[in-house]
Amino acid sequence: MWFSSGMQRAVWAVLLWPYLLTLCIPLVCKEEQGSLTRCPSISQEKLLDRVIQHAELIYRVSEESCSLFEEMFVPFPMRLQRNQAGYACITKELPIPSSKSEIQQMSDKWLLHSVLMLVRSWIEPLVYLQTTLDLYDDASEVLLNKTKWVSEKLLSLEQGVMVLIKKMLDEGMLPTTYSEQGLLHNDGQPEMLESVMRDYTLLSCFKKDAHKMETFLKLLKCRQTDIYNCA
Amino acid sequence: MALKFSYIGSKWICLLFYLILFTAMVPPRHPHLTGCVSTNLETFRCRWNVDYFQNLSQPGDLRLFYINNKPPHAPPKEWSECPHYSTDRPNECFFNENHTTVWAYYSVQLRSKDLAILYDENRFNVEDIVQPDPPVGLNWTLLNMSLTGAYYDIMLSWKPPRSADVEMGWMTLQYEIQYRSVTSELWEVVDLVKNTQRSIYGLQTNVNHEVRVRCKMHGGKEFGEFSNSVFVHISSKVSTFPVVALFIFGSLCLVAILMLVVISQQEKLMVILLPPVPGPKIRGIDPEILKKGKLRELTSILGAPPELRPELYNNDIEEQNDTLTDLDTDWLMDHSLSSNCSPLSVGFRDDDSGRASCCDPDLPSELEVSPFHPLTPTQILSKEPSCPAASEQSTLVQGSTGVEPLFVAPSREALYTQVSGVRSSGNVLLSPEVDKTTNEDSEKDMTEKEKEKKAFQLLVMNADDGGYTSELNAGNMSPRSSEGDMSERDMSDHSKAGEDLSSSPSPSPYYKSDTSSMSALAPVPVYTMVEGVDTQNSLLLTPNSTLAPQMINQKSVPTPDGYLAPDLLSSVTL
Repeated sequence: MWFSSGMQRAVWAVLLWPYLLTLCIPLVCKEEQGSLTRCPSISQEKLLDRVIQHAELIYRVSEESCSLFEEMFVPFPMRLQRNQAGYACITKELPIPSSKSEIQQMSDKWLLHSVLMLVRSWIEPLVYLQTTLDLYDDASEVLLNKTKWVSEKLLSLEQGVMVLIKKMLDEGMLPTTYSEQGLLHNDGQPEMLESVMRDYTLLSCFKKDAHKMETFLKLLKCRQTDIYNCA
Repeated sequence: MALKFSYIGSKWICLLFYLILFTAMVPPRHPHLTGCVSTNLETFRCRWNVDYFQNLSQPGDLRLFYINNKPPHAPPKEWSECPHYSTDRPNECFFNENHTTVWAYYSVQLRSKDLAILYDENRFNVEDIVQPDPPVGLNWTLLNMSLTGAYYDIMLSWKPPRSADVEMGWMTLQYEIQYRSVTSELWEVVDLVKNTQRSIYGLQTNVNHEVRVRCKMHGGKEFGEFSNSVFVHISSKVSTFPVVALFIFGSLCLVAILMLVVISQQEKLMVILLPPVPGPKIRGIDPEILKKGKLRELTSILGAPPELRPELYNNDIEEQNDTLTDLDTDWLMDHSLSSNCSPLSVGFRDDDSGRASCCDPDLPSELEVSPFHPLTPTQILSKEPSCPAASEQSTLVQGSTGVEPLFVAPSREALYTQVSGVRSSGNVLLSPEVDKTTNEDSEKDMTEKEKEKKAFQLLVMNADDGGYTSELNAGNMSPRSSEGDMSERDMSDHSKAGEDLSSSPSPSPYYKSDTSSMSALAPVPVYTMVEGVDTQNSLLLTPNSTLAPQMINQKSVPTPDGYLAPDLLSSVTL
């Protein structure tokens, strides 16, 4: 009976329409740093807040890791000798301003791109750092967990910043034009102190850059809310 | 002796000498950097100290050089001198915004005027040396006060230091509050907060409190200076009534009340808490046996085949299912119908019967509706005669092979007699006939002889639905004068009860023959029902008080001790 089959289809359609809707409209993001395909529906302010939260956490954890590492491995006289010759920060070549006045003159686009650049340049070195830390005999569990956590969060931060760029600047997906600086090669078996100092430098540089990221993002937020006070 | 003293004395002198020499030889501390501090992440200042070299305290005597983002081993020309030697205080170098690079690595050196002597050097990142200025505008508001007026809560609020650019987000600060009562030396520290307000709970009234706050940068290591202290004081009239004493008194009263309740309700509580332990009991077995340790009887009962064991009755009143193990020794109590009950059934009482007394008026009605008991021909159970108050009952013992349960006829007066014994002939002697046993015996023997060849039949009184007139065909069993007994009893039932026996027609022929032998039975006979014989040839009488007429299972062959043999019993079928 054509009538009954038509009725059946109508009934099915009526029953299934919520599911169709959910397919069309993706669910609200629960995770802040979800991929672009999954979570396009989060608001910009909320996303920015969460990105800032992420950056704050990363900075704090990196600071804790640096202190832990310093206490555990770096002999006291050497503690101030970070950034000695040969152990410069890997990101020093990046054209990032480092005074408040300069930063205030940066545009939103510049800020966001700088953050993305920083994040991307640190993904690989952190992975490398994890492997070297595992080689230490008495690296504490806490330190290893912290560095692991940081490298994971860095990836989600990257995603969040990309989404933010897309939202705020209406740009498309950015290709990874920033070549990753592969300067951390393990040449042979370095001496213990050397490797310690190198890792120490790495950690302190990362801490610095994390602070940069956090500051840039905060400045960005300030501009969003109240452009007059933030200059 | 003198030598000894001199030796000790010289020792001390040497020691003293070395001490003086040592202190004299320590050179005075050269000028050193006391630290470089930034308050707002945009500028910083470095300070140094001259201890003993007072001649160097002139400005310009010591010079500070710094180098930025370069290793400190670079040649001196790359080093820059302090951009501004502070004027407001000596021995300080101030780096303003133009000379401050936040995420850069600074090396600072303190040198002499001619740059020849390097006194001290330091290396740092600017963000690591941040010590913010103290917060400003600390004040408090009262949140609430406790009921007793002894404690109160306050809300503290403050503002971030002006130098720190918090609005822009350039710096994120965390605050720490410390408070104490002015009398104590120890400061209470509250956890770090990011907001600019915090509540403090549980401050005491009439006590002066001092509160201060300081801050540090989020992720930074060092705190800035403390703000000025704020004093908090609230006075209240706290009632001098000691609250603690009140609580103790109240709890004591409560305990006393509880004790009173416990003591007054002691019995009930004892019952609840320590319920009485039931005596030893196995259903169907006389508890006296269990108590007095008559193991022989006990084992004989328990070892009997299941069909000979006393059945467990469903009658919830009938908890006195005891077996009459030895007719010679056990006696059924004689209960009159109208008399007051006396719980005299020795050995048949059940301690956990659940009844308040045996004179329960509901008993007969309950007994009337007692369920049927399956009865095998070999079983005769004696039931404890209870005290029927008014109602009657008749329990029909069925002689069939256990198919039909024991049937209780309603509206039948419960009549009992006492089985005084079993004669050697196998007759069950009932108490009214004790005096006339001899006479009756002769009579009954005559009747027996008359009816030798007649089948022995057990009389069954039918209830309304009839059909229970089952007859026990003993076959070889000769009718006993117990027939007459039975008939006599029946007649007495008739005479006493005056009610219709529902199935009177059936036993009537037997009555007729023995009417003559009926003699007035003086007391009201109380009957029980012999339901079977167990393996040890003892009659099992039903303890139920509802039997009229009773059935007696008689042996066909008189055995020497007067008991039915089991094999004979099995041949007796209903």
